[in-house]
Amino acid sequence: MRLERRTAPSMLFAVLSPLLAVALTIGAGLALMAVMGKDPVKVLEVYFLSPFADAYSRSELMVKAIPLALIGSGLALAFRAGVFNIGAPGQYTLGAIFAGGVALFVPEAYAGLWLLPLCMVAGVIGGMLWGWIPAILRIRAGANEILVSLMLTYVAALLLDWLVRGPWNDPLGRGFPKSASFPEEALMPILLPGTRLHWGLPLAVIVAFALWYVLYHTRRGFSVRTMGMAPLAAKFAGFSEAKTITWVMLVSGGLAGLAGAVEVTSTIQQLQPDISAGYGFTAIIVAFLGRLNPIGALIAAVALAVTYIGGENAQILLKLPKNVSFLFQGMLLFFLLACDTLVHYRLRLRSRAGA
Amino acid sequence: MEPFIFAMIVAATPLLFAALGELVAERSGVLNLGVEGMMLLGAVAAFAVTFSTGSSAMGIAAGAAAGAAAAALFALVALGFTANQAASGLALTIFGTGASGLIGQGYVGKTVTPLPPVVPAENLPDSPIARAVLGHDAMVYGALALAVLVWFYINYTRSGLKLRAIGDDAESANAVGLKVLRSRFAAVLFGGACAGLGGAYLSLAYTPLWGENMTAGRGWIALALVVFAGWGPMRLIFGAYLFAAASLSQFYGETLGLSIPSQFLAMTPYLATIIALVVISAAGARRAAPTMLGRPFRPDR
Amino acid sequence: MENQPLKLSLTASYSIGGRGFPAAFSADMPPITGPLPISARLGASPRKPDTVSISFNRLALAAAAKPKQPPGKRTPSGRTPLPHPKQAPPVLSPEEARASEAQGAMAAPIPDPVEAPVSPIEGAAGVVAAAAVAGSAVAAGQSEPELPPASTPVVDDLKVQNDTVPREALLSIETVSKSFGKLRANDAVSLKLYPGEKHALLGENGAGKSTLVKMIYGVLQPDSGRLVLDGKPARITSPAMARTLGIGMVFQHFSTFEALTVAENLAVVLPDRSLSGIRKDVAAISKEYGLAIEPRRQLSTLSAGERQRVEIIRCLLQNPRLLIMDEPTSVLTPQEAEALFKTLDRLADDGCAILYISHRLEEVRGLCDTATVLRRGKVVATCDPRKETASSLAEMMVGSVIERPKKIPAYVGSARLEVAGLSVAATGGQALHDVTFSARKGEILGIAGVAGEGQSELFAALSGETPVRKHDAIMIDGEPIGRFSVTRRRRLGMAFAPERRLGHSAIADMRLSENYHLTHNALGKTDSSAREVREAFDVRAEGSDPFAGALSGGNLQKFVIGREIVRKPGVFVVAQPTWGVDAGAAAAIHAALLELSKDGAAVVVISQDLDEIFAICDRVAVLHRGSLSEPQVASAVTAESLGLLMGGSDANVVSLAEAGA
Repeated sequence: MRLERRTAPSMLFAVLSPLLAVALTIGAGLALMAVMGKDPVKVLEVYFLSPFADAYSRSELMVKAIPLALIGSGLALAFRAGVFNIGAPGQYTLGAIFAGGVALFVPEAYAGLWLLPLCMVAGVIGGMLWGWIPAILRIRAGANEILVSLMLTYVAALLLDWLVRGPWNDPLGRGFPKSASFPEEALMPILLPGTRLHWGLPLAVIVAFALWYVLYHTRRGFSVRTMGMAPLAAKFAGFSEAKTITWVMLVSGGLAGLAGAVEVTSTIQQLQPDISAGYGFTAIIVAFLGRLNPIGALIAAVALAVTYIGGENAQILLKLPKNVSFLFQGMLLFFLLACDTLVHYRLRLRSRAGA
Repeated sequence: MEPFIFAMIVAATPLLFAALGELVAERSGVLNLGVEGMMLLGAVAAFAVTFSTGSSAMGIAAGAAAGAAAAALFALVALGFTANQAASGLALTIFGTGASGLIGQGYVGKTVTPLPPVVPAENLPDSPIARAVLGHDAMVYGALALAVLVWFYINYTRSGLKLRAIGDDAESANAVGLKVLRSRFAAVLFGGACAGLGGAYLSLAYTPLWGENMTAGRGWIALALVVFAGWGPMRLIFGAYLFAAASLSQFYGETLGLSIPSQFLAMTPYLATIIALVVISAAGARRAAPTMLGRPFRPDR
Repeated sequence: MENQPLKLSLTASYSIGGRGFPAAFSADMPPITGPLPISARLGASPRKPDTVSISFNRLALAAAAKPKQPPGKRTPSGRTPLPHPKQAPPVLSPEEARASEAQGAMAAPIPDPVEAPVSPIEGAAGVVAAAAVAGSAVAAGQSEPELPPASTPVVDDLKVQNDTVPREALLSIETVSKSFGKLRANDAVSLKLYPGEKHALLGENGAGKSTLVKMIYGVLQPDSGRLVLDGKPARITSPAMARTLGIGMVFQHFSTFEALTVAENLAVVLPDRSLSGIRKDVAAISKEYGLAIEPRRQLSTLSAGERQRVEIIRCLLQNPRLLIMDEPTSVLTPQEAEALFKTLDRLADDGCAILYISHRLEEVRGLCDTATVLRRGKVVATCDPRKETASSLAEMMVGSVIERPKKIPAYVGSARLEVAGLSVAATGGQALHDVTFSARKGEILGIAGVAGEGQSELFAALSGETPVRKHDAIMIDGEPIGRFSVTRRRRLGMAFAPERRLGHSAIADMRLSENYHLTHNALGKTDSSAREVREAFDVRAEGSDPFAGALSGGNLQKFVIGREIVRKPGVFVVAQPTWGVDAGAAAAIHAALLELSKDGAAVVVISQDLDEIFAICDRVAVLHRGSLSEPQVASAVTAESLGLLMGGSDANVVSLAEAGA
C-alpha cells in the first residue's frame, strides 16, 4: 500500500473520515475492553448506547455538549489559522473565575436580570485575557503558543485553587474548598423543565452559526483560512499575521471563557477546584472531528459528550476509571488524523511491482 | 544548601530524560507533543512491572518499552499517514493520560522500594555536598551519560549526521537516498523510550508510587527545555538542572521565610517555563531549530 | 580468448577515486584519454584517431545476482579481448574472481552485438591500459581497506568511442512508460546513452523529462519497458542503488543541506569515508575540474553556483559513469555556466556520459553532441543539436511554431514607480543596499540576476509584504509608499505576482474564485471575477471552479498574472513570470505584459532568465548581493556584459567562485 497525493482535496472523504474514525474507535475500544476481560457487548451498551437511552440521558448529553461546542467552535477557528491554542482549559478556568467573581461580589441589593449577562461578559473577558497572553508573546518574542498556552493552564488551575481555598472561600462552607453559592440572578435559566438543560444550548448554536458565517463569508474569516493554508499567501493578500493570531486567540480564548462562565453559572453554581476543565482538552478533538468548521464542531460536541456520559456510567456500572474517556478520545483523534490523510491522498495498492 | 542540591538533581532527572528523547526526535524534524502521554505510560508501566516482579530493572525496561510503544502509535499516524504532527502529539498525550489511568487503576496507593543509590550511604564521603551529588541512584547518572552519548551521536557519527540532514531538509535527504521515514521513525521511538525512562524515574524514584497525571506537566516542560537548550544535548543538561532549581519552590518559601500561598509557589515551574521560552525566543534561539521541524514529509512521486 | 569474460583487471583504477580519483585519472588514464584534441573528443574530424575510452566500475551485487542470459555466448568482436581475471591474480581474492566471472559471463552477451572491425591501435591501447591500470590496482587494493572484497564484484567495460564505429550503450532505455493517474508522463520512451557522450534531453515543462530521469535515478519505477545498463537489464530501485551503479544526478532544486558544512554535505552520501578524507578529495577534485570550494563552509553561506558545485563534487566522489544534470545553468551567470561546460567537457573526455536537461537551446547546441526531444511523454526526435538551429529545436519541442510576441519600441513616459536609496537589513536572507531605479510609463524594466541575490527581498519591499522604514524610498506616481501595506499599495494601482505560485501567489487547496480574492479583497467593488480571468487569459482546467492545485503550472501562472492584469494596474511587479511554464503559456504571458506596458503601465520583471529579459524588456538592471546596477537599454547590452554584472564584477570566473565569503 502507498499513498498518492490527490490534485484536489476529496470532498467525499472530508465528510466520511469522521464517521469512519468514530466507527474505528468504537471497534478498537471494544476490542481493547474484551482483551481486558470486560464484556464488549456490555461496554458498548453502557458506554456508547446508554447516553441515548432515555430523555433525561439525552438532555444530559446536551448539557455536556454545550461547553464542548462553545470551546470547540472557537478552537476550530484558531486551528484553521494554524494557531495551536491548546490552552483552552486555562481560558475556560479564567472565564469561570471572572464570571464567579462577578456573581459572588455584586452586592445582592443591586442584583438584577443583568447579572447573568454580566457574568457571561466577564467570562469572555477572562478567557480573552488568558488567550491574549500567548498571542502577544508569540508575536512580540516568538514564543511558541502551544507551550505558553499550556503552561498558563496549570497557572489558571492553581489560581482557582488558591481563590476557593483562600480569599473566595465560603465562610459558611465548613472549610470545604469552595466558594459560596451564586445568587439566583446569576444562574442560567433552565430550558427544559425537569432536566438540567439550560439556555447555554441556544447560545452555543448561535455562536457556532455566527462563527461559521464569519469564517466563510467575511474578509476576516478569509484571512484566517488563508493564513492556515499558506502564511506567505496570506501576507501577500494583505493580511497581517499578528492581527490574525491575536484575533483567533481572543475569539477562541473568549469562547472558552464563555464556556467556563456558562458551566459555573449552570451546573456547578459555585466555584470549586474542579470545574471540569477537561472540556478544554476534549474540545480540541471536537474541533478536529468537526472538520475545523464551527457548525461541524456543534455536531462533534454531541459525539464527544457521549464519552463523558458513557464514561460516568461506565465508572459506576463497569468500575472503569474516569480516565478511560481520555483513552477513547485519544484513539478517536488518532483514527481521525489517519483517516483525514485520505482527504488529500488516495490509497493505492503498491504500484511498484515487486519493489 | 545540600538538600537543595540533592532535590535539584532528583527533579532534573526526569526532565533530562524526556527532553533528550524529544531533542533527538526534533533533530530529525519531528515535533512530538505527546511527551506527557509517553511519560505517563512509562511511569505506570515501570511501576506496575516493578510492583509485580519486584525488580526495578525490569520496571525501568518496561517504562522505556511503554514509552517507545506509545511513540510508535504517534509515528504511525504522524509519519505513516502524514498527519499533522502537533495534533498527533496531542492525541498521544490524551491517549496516554487515559491509558495510564486505566492501567494504573489497581496500583493507586501502592508503593515500591525506591531505587537504591549507586554508592551505599555508608561508603559516601562525609562532606554533605559530596553526599548530595554522589548519593543518587543509577538513573540519575544514566541520564547524564545519555546526554553525553546523544551529544556524541549527533555531532560525531555518520548516523547522527544523516539525522541532522533529514531534519534540515527532508526532500533533499530523500533525493540523495537517505531513508527519511525510517530514520524519523527510529528517532521518534528513541524519544518515546527516553520519555518512558523519565516517567519510570518519577514512579520508581522521585515518588515511588503511582498517581494519575503524576507527571504534572513535566512532559510539556521537557518540550520547552529543548527549545531553551537550542537543540543542543549538552546545553540541555544545564537547562534541566537550572529548571529543576527554579522549580523547587518549597525551598524558597522556607529559606526566604515568606508566607506565600502554596499555589503560587507551585506555579513557579510553569511561569519559569514561560519566561524561559520568551527570553530564549526573543534572543533568536528559534533559528537553531531544525528547519523541517513539524513539517510532514511524504515522498511524492 | 573470445569466450573469456572481458571484465576485470582494470578494476581498481576508478576505485582509487575513492581516495584520489583525479590522481588516478591523471596518472593512469592519460595514455588513453587525456591529451586528445577537442575535435577528436567531439568526433567532429573524420581523420581523428580511433579513440579508446575505458571506464570501469564497481557494480552492485544486486545487479550481478541473477544472470538473465545463459553464459557462453560470443563476446562481441568489437570488444578488445583482455587478460582473464586469473591472469592477474594479485588484484583479486578468489571470491572476487568468482564473482567477477559470474559477472563477466552474464555481462558478455550483449544484445545487438557490434560487428565492426577492431583496429590494431584500439586493441593495443586497451591492453596497454589494462596493464598500466592493473599495476595501480594492486596498490589501490592495498590502500583501500573500505573496499569489501565479496560484496563488490569489480567489472570493467571497454568502450570504443568512435562515431564511425557503432558503440555499445552505457545505458539503454527501452520503451519505458510511466503514468500518473490519467496522465501518461512517459510513453514508450527509448534512448541510448554512450560513454563520453553529452546527451541533451529537451522538452517543454511537462513533457516528461523529469519523470524519465527520476526513473533512471531510481526515484521512480517504470510501469513498463526496461533500463539496460552495460547490456544487462537493470532494476534501479533507489537513488542509493543508482549511485552504486555509477549514476549521479545534480538536481535543479539542489538536494543539499543548508545547516551542514560542505564536507558534511558530501559525507551524508558517502557512507564509509571520513570527513578529513573527504576534505582532501574535495581539494583534489576542485583542482582537477575547476570546482573551487572550501569544504568547511556552511552551505547557507554559499551562492547558488557554489551549491551546485557541491552537488557536482558529491556526484564525482562517487565515480559516476553517467551524470544527469537537471537545468544546471538556471542558477548560473553566463560565465559560471561557461565554467560548468568546461567541467562537463572534462568529464565526458574521461568517459563519463552526461545527460543534460535544459530548455536553453543555444546552450545545448554549444555543449551536446546528441539530443533527444520529448513531447507529451513521447520521443519525437533524436538529432545532433549542432546541426540544428535553436528554432528548429524549439519547433520539435513544441510541435508547432510558437508565435513569439514582438517587442515594439515602447513609448516611454514619466516615471510611475520610483525607488531611491532602498535599503533593507538582512533578516535571514540577503540585505538590500541602496537600490535605486525607476520604471516609467510604457516600459518594461528587467531586473536580472542569479537566484538568491536579493530578488525576493526586493519583491517583498516593492509589494509591501515587508514595508520599509524610509517612506519615500518607494514612490508611486510621486506619492511615497514605503511604509504602506500591500493592500494600500494595491489601492494605489500597484499589482504584484511573486515567483512561487503555490503557497505564495495562490493556494493549492482553494478554488480559483477564492484565489482570486487573495489580491482583490479590500479593493472595493470590482467588476471582474475569476471566471473573467479564466476566459480572458485562456486558463484551462476542468470544472467550473477548480482548486488551484489542480491546474498545470502554465495555466496557474496565466491565472495569477491575469488576475492582476484585469485590474489594469499602473505598476506591475512580477517575479519570474514564466518560470516552469510551457512555451505556449510563456508566450501568452509575455504578450500580456507587453500589452500592459503599451497601455501605459510600468512593468518590473524580476527574472533569472536572460532570454526572457531580452525578449520583453526595454531596460535592464542587474541585482547582485542586494545591490542594483544602473539600468541600461536592453538592446544595447549583451548577455556577456550582463553576466559580468551578475557575477558582481569584471573579474574572471574563478574569483567569482571564491567571492562567496
